[in-house]
Amino acid sequence: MIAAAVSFFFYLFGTMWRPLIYVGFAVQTGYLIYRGVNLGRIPLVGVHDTLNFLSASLVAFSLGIQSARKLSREFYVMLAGMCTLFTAFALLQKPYATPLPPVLNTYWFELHVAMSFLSYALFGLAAILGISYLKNGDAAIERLQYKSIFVGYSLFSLSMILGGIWAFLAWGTYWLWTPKELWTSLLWLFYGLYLHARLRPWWSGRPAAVLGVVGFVVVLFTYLGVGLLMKSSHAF
Amino acid sequence: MVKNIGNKVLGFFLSLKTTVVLMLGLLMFFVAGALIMPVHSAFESITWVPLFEWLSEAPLSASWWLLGSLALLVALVLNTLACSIDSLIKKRSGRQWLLVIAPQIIHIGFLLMLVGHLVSGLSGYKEMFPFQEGTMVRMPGNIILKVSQIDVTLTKEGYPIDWRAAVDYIDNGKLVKSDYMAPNRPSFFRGYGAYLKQVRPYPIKAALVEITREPGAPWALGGGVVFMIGTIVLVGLKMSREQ
Repeated sequence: MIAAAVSFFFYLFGTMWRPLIYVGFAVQTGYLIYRGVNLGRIPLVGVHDTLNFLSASLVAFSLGIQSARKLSREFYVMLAGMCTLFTAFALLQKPYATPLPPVLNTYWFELHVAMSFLSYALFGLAAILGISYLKNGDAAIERLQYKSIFVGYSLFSLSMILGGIWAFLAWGTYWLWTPKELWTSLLWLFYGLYLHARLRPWWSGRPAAVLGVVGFVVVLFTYLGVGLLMKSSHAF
Repeated sequence: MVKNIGNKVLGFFLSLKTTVVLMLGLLMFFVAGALIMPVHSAFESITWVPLFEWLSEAPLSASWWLLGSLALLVALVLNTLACSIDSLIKKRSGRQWLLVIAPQIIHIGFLLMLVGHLVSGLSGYKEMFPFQEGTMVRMPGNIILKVSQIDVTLTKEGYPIDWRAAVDYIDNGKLVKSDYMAPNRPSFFRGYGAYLKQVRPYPIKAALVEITREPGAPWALGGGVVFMIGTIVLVGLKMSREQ
C-alpha cells in the first residue's frame, strides 16, 4: 500500500516534471509484482489491483507510442493526471486479500481480466491522443489514436472471447444477461462504430477523434459505474 | 420500376453509411436496455429460458429494445453480407489480397457469433437440481444423473477453497459413464453439461447442480476464433502499412 501511495505522488509531480512518471511507473510495477508473488497469482481481482494495473499499463503503452512519435507536453500532463486519478482511487479501495473463490482460480479468468485492462489502457491513451489532436490538429496524432483504438479493440475482443470460454466452463453459458455484459457489448459496439465511421469522409478527423474520447467515458462507466451502481455478475 | 426499387434496396445494404447508422441505432437500443434491465422484474427470468421463449412471454415494456435490436441486427447481417461480397468482387484483382480478405474474415467471425446466439436463443436448456450423495435425477433424453460423492476442501477457518463431486450417468439401468464435476470443470454427456454450482459441507453434504445445453456455444467459439484470426491479420497489415 505504501508503494502505491508513493507511486501516486510520483504521478502527481509527474504532471510538472515528466521523468517522475516513469519513477511512479517503476514503483507501481514493483508493487504489483510484490502483490503477485505474495498472493501466488496475477493481482487482478478487485478495484484496487485493477486500477493499479490500468495505471501502470497506461504508462507502459505510452512508451511504445513515444518510440513512434515525439509527443507534446500536454500529452504527458494528461497521462500523469490520469495515472494520478486512477492510483488515488485505487488507494481508497481495500486490496482483495482473501482466498479466491474456486471459480476464479483459472487461467481463463486471469487472461480475460488482463486483456480487458490492457485494452482499457489503450482506450485511455487513445482518449489522451484524441484530446491532443483536437487541440493541435496534428494528423499524425489522430493516426496514433486510431492505432491505439484498433489494437485496444483487438485485445478487448479477445478478452470477451476468453470471458465467454471461462463463463461456459464455469456457469454453462458463454453469455449472461446482466448489465455488465450489456455494457461490455455496448462498449465493443461503440468502438466497432468508431472503426467503421472513421472510414467515412464525414466522420474522419475531428468527429472520429471526439468518438475516441467519448469511448473512454463509456469504458470508465462499464468498468466502474456498472459495478458500483448496478447489480451484476462482475464485481469490477 | 421493380428493378429500380431493387437497386435502391441493394444500394442501401451496400453502403457503409448504412452500417454506421445501424450501429448507432443498435447503440441507442443497448443504452435503453442498459437502463431498463436493472429495474424491470421481467429480466429476472431471462437467464433461465432461451431468449426467443423469453421474448414471446415478456411484456413489451421490458422487451421492446431487444426486439428493436434484433431487427437492426438482421439489417446489419444483410449489410455485412452485401458489403463483404461486394468488396471481394470489386477488389479480387488487387495486389494486397490479405488486406481485402482480412476484414471479410472478421465479418464471417461476427456472423458466426450471431448464429451461436440465434441457435442458443432458440433451443437452449437450463435447470437446477439439489443433490445429496446418492441422489438421482432424470435428465432430458431419459438419462439418469447420479451424484455418488461430494468432497469439500476447507481452510482452517472453515472457508471452502475447493470442491468436487463424482457423477454417474445411467441409461436404461446401465452405468454408461462415470465422471466428476468441479469449479470450471463441468461434466459433459450427450450434449448436456452438468455444473457444480454450490456445495454445502454441513450438516449433510449437499450440492446444487445445473444441467445445461448451450447448442450455440461451438458456433460462438468458432466465430470468436475466426474473428480473432482476421483481426490479428488486419492489425498486423495496418500497422506495417502505417510504418
